[in-house]
Amino acid sequence: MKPQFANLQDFLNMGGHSGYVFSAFGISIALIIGLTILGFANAQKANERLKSLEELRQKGK
Amino acid sequence: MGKSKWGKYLINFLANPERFMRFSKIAMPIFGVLAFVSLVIGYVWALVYAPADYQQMETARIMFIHVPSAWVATGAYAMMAIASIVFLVWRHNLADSAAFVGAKIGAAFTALCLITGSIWGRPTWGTWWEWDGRLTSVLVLFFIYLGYLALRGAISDQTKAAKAAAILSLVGSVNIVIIRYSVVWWNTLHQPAAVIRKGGSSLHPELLKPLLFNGLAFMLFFGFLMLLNLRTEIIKKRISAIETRLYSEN
Repeated sequence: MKPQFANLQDFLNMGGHSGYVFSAFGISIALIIGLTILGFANAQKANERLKSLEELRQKGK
Repeated sequence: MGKSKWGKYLINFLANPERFMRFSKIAMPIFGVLAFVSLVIGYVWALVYAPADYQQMETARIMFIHVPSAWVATGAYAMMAIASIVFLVWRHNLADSAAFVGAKIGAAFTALCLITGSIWGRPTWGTWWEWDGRLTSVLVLFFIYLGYLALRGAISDQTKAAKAAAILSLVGSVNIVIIRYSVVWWNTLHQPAAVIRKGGSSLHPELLKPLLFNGLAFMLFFGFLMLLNLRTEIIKKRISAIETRLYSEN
């Protein structure tokens, strides 16, 4: 497999369609990173809430 | 053990939330690592090493994210419909949670499919949007996902909300068939099926290989997100059960 571009300038130019190609790829990367961060943040929040509730329940016993 | 018995055994095994938590604790990081490694390889392959299309030139590279996102968007719906049947027939609560989580992820990938398709359409067709059969039916899929999520949020009784949403997802599943055959029934703007079709793919192997690889990477990422978010849903249900118990005690 060989790179399809002679140099970095050619790659960044994308045959004159760089705006379309890189915006589409950029949006997809943002979505992948966003969904991952959101997933972990929600998991952490839920775990902390469960932990505090279990502590509360232990105190009540 | 026959194939169907294995399937039934697997469903019954994972339907238990405790067992699912133990299974997903190991499976989730494996899916996560595999997904991210394959996404990096797939993106570099698509952007740097895959050849340009002889007609669409470099803009055809958008296909490597647009098509896999469409596969995940429709695949997530199929999974959601199956989970809804399992919930309605066998009353497995985990199946209902899987449908709910699948709807959220499916909606995100449908939005990605629509946005990347629009960006690809501008230099290829000369328009951002057209009321073509395929484009419109995918937009309808996005609205069905939103409708499913809105319905769940609108009904306060969780059991009623789950039942109503499951029925809606089954009714909406007809749209998956419409999406599949839209390019045959209304031959307007969107190109016909090129990968999954009678007589084999019409794509050149040099384009087909990175496309299938990115498809696999997107599926792995979907699997990872499903496991991650389903774990959170189970924890949220535990929280809700403890809160109810605590309030009833006080």
